[in-house]
Amino acid sequence: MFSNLIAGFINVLQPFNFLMAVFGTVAGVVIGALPGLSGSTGIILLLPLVYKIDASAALLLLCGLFCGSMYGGSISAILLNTPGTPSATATLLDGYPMTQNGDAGRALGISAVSSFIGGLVSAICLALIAPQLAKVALSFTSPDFFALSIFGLSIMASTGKDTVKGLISGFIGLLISTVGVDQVAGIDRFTFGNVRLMRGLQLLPVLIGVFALSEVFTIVQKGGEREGAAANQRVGRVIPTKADFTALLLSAVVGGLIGVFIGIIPGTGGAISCFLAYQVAKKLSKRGDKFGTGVPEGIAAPEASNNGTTGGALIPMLCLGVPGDTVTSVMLGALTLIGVRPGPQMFVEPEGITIVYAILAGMIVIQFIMLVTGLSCAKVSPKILKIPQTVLLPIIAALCIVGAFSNSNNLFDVLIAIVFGILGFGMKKFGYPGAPLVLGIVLGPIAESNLNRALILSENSWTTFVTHPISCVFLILSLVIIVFSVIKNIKEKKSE
Amino acid sequence: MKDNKKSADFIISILLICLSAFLYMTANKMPSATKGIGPGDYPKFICLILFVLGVVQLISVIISSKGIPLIDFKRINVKYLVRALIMVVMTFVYYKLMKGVGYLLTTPIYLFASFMLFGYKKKVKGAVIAVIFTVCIYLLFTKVFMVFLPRGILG
Repeated sequence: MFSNLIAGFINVLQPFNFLMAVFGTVAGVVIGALPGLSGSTGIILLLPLVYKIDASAALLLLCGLFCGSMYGGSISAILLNTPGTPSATATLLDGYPMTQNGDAGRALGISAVSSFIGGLVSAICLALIAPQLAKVALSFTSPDFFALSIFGLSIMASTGKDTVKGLISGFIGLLISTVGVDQVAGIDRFTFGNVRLMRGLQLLPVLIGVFALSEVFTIVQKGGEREGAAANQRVGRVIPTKADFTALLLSAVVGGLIGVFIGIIPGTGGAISCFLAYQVAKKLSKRGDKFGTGVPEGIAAPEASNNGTTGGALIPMLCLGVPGDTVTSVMLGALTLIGVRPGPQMFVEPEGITIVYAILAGMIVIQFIMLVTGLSCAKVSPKILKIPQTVLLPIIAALCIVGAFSNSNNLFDVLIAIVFGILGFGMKKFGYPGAPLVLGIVLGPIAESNLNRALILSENSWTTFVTHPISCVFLILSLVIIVFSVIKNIKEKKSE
Repeated sequence: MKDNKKSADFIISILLICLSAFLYMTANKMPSATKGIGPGDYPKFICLILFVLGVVQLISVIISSKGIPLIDFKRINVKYLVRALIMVVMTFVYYKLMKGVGYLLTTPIYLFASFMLFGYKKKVKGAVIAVIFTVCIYLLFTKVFMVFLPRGILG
């Protein structure tokens, strides 16, 4: 493992790969800073670039963007009292009061250093845990992989406000994955005589529609676009003092570990971990009563924890092919596009090993890039927030159209992106989450082929899913998760 | 807003039930396999689950509405939807014209029109941004990514 990691570092430090990691991180910081734009939107906008370059470089770009957007979210939370991403919601509790006290630079510096510590903790955990979990996952058989797909889908569907809506979204995704010519029997499925549908619905235009174009339509409909924020605070000294560093260290390490733990659980993410870490830091700190007035620990804990989730969320995605949150579900789609199929096999196949260890080493290198970017960009960050959304959103829409076209130089893909943009807009408006839909499209073929293989091997006996212990555990867990979340939804509705 | 969602959920449930039943019947015409699953079995399985989910959703909406009319068009706020619809239509027209007229001519017009729809006040600056962005993206895609965007009448 150690020699593979060294090879991974050499791979990451290749000039082009390193450049892509830097580009991804900087782009992530900018996208994360802009309220309304998330890491998943950023990944989708960069997809046309991603599948024109080498897999390792592409993955470093995506990981950089993922980590950068987590830190970027704190910039608008600190300067504007508006989180750039949901993961930065807890950061504003102490970040904005510190800005009001005239210490905007100090808050941004603490956020950058804490993000670095949290990210580094998570990158180390990722490098230690992922290869071990992959060894366990290598013993999985066809029934286990089918059950795992169902588990991934049910856990992603259960995290929203309405489990039934999440499940509807996920199963529609599974159904969409069946469109086109069946790979085994060569029969047309749901093409209704349209030749263009024979190759199925392509993932890139679907992703562009559901996550990026729908975002533009949603902001237009809400009337939420702005001309550019008035972040006029003077950013003074950015690098934390020795006293600040001592104060934030414990909160950042604990926050990072909480982030890793929360990130590993599929369907969770930074939005949950940041509040948990904030509460834990409040209890651990000697000045817990001062939280909310602008204390360094109050910024350090949520920022370290949301960056901690990045490595944590990558663990189930890389080892099992089941994403940890919305951004990693989009990343999973992006990996499928560039021909990388995450799962335990990646850890044993020579080509997979190169990619996996480039990610593991890359995640460590990216944290250093993020620290340098964060500290050096802090002074110009108020300018990032002045980019008017009235200009940015139409540009994103135009990029979506070009990105969809570039998938296969085909205008039909543009139509697919627009149709899914409208669908995604409607889904968002009426509370149907988009992540299970995309996960359903990605996991659909895996679920189908493993279901088929399992039934062939067991002479069409459905009991095979119960007699295999791993598969049985995943199916029981899926059922338990769905039942519990439906009960929780009913209780919440009654209390409303 | 919540009532709007309930009306929408009611309509979506019925649509889902009808769609899953129709697709189940379509999949039913596909051949079956003697061993494993045939091309139609997996979609049928998914349609069946979607049908059940549609029924569950419908029952849940009916129970929770408690005497409130399920569809009330007066509650739908048309004003908020108009701008989004204009944006959707503009995007669709942009897509339709791109092949015939070409990327280089349609994109600046689409961008400028969108800026105005969004309420961007600086018209000259908006026009300049639209043209510069179009040219930069055109050069990036055609020269670097080797993606040949439609040239249309500039052919």
